[in-house]
Amino acid sequence: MNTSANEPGNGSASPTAQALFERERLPFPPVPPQLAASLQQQGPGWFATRPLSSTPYDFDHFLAEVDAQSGLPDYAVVGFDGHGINSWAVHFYLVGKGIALFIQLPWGGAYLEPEPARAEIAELLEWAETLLSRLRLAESAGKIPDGMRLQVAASRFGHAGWRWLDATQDAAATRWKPSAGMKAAMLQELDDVIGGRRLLKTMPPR
Amino acid sequence: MKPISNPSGGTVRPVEGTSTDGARGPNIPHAAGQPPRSVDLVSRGEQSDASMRPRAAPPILSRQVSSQGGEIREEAAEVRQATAATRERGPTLEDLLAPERRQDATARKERVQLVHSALPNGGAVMKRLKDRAARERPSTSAEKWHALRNGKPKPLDGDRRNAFDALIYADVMALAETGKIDFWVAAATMRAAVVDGTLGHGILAPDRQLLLKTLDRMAMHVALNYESKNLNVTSDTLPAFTNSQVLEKPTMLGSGTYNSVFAVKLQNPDGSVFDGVFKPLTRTDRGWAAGATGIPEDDPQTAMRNIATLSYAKKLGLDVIVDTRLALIDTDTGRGVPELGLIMERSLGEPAYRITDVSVLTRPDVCAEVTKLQLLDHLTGQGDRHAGNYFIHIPPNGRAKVMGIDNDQCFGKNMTDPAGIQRVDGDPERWGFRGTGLPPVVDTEMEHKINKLTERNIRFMLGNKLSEEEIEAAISRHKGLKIHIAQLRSAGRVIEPEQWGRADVQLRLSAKNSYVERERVKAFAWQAGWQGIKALHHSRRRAACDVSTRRDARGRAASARNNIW
Repeated sequence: MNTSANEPGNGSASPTAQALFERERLPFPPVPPQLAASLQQQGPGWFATRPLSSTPYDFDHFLAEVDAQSGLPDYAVVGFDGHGINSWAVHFYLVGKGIALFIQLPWGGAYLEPEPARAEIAELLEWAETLLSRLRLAESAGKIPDGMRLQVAASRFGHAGWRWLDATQDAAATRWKPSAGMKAAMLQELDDVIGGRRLLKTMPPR
Repeated sequence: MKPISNPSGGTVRPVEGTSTDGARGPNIPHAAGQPPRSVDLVSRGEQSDASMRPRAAPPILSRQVSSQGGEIREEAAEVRQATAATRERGPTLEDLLAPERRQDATARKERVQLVHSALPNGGAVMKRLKDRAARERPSTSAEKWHALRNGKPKPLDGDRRNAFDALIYADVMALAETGKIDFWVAAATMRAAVVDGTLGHGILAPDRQLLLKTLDRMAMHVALNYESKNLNVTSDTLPAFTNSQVLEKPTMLGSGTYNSVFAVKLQNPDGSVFDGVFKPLTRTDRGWAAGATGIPEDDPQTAMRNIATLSYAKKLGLDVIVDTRLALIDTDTGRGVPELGLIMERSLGEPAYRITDVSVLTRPDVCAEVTKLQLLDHLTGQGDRHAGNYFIHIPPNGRAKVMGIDNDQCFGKNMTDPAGIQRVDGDPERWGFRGTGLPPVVDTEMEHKINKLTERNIRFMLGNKLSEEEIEAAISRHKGLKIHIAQLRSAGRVIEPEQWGRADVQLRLSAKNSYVERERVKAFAWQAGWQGIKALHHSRRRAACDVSTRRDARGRAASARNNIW
């Protein structure tokens, strides 16, 4: 992974972030250790490893940013953000080698039913951990070309879908695969990549 | 909600000595426990628009009449005599001031009664201050011994000041509870009692000054709430509910760490229960849609935007926004003072993203009601309408009801195009919006309501809520929507209200031009995987009106309900 913008050693807020998730009785997102060490609190309920121009609630900003800036440093965002009485969500964003993962699920709003919401969050974060471990396997096997990323958008308020995107591709012209059944589809895709049944190729530069 | 009288006697005349430092206090309406311009704080539900305007307090309060029949009869005799004398020689200054003096005297009697009953022997503060005075100027032998033992009183600062404030707070609370009045009215009542000598006889002058100042501060807390939020005091922003109407202790709904929202049960003026959600106002707010449309981050005017949205919906007769008002409530978070916030009626039904029965989203009444909300959003420039901030409720055997909440990211001055709320992939200026394009179909009722609205209506409706630039943008969006509706009329796409179930109408709706179709596509996708989407398009294209085919598609969707994402 590239270097994070927040250098570790300045007093990571990771324990504070973990305590906050613990208070909400939610599992902590699978932030890679080198990024967790750089987490800093940037809002009342959220933490990031780099200074941000937008708050996590603005999901589409982060999606668009990663498309627009191929040289974006690795970063992670975790925490709770929103506005009003019900427009609140838990967030886990992770941008690194081979991955650009954006999860935004309802949490903290006045009308939330905690138990089903908690179950959904736990399930998705557990899936994210599995996905990241398979991605690492694929990377270590040299199956993911440099500059290629698996982009995942999972928002109940905004966009949901997935796609492979390499740095040379025009993001706007690259179609998202639909969200339906995407968790299983992505795990299967990575299994196929690791097993050599699916070959990832970068597109020739335009 | 009962009218709140000025504790100094129901008149608007400033009480003598209202300023502790010799200067007149700030011109803040709620200072000294008096509502702005002597406005009766009456819940909006019980009054017409005209009665929302500030009005003078009644000369004699009904409470006084009912509780003091004998005195009233005496007063009536006095009034008759005075009237007869006036007829003979014309009114003197004395005659003119007499009614007001009688009111002051009656109010003082009431105040004395309340203070004596709520604070036996003057209450905890007076006990403490009299003890200090006795140590400073002991007169009896016991006081002299006491002064010798404890020394001269020390300045009331630091911990002593905190303890002093706590005593005052407890006494004010006792007054509020005994008199069944709001905290800030009780603070002003106690203050008036100190000024008129009912309380505080013999206490040290500096202590008296400090006491008055502290009571001022407590009474002015209400005003400061408005000031700190930079919220104009208008008939629309006066608190519709205050502490005295809270029926049950507010309970936290949101996290508390990052989102403080409370469930509250309040008493309506007619005695019924208002089940609401209360969110204290914050001074700042961030949000992509707000920033992109020109809503200032450091002064977002969240309350005004919510209230303006409700006003707009009411004006158009579009019942798709929750009842939203201001309230001043102590949420018992330990600060001990009421907070100004928005109170919204509790939404019924489910947020749109949680609708598990996709057939709900194809109901004609749901299509119509969600389209009304969408049209309102185009008019208000609402940039953040996602499936979590509007609710769909299907009452048993009734018409669907749609309710939008969190109406604060709207009325930005830069949003002049009604279609501008649409999310556009790849466009940095549009990618953060959560709305859609303009609807491809409207019904005659919607057409009539929007065409009937005039620029003058919009100015009148929003004039005391938004800036001139924001109002101009609203006018521009209304013009744009009228043009769009005229185009729909020309293209034969204005239907009758009962025709939302027509196959050709449903086919025109897409995720890019319709909220309801956007949610429908997502629901199918989440619930049924690819098969669901195929079933949706297949069933709609082949036989949109074929009930059995649609039921089959829904059945397949339901069977795959757990296969989300």
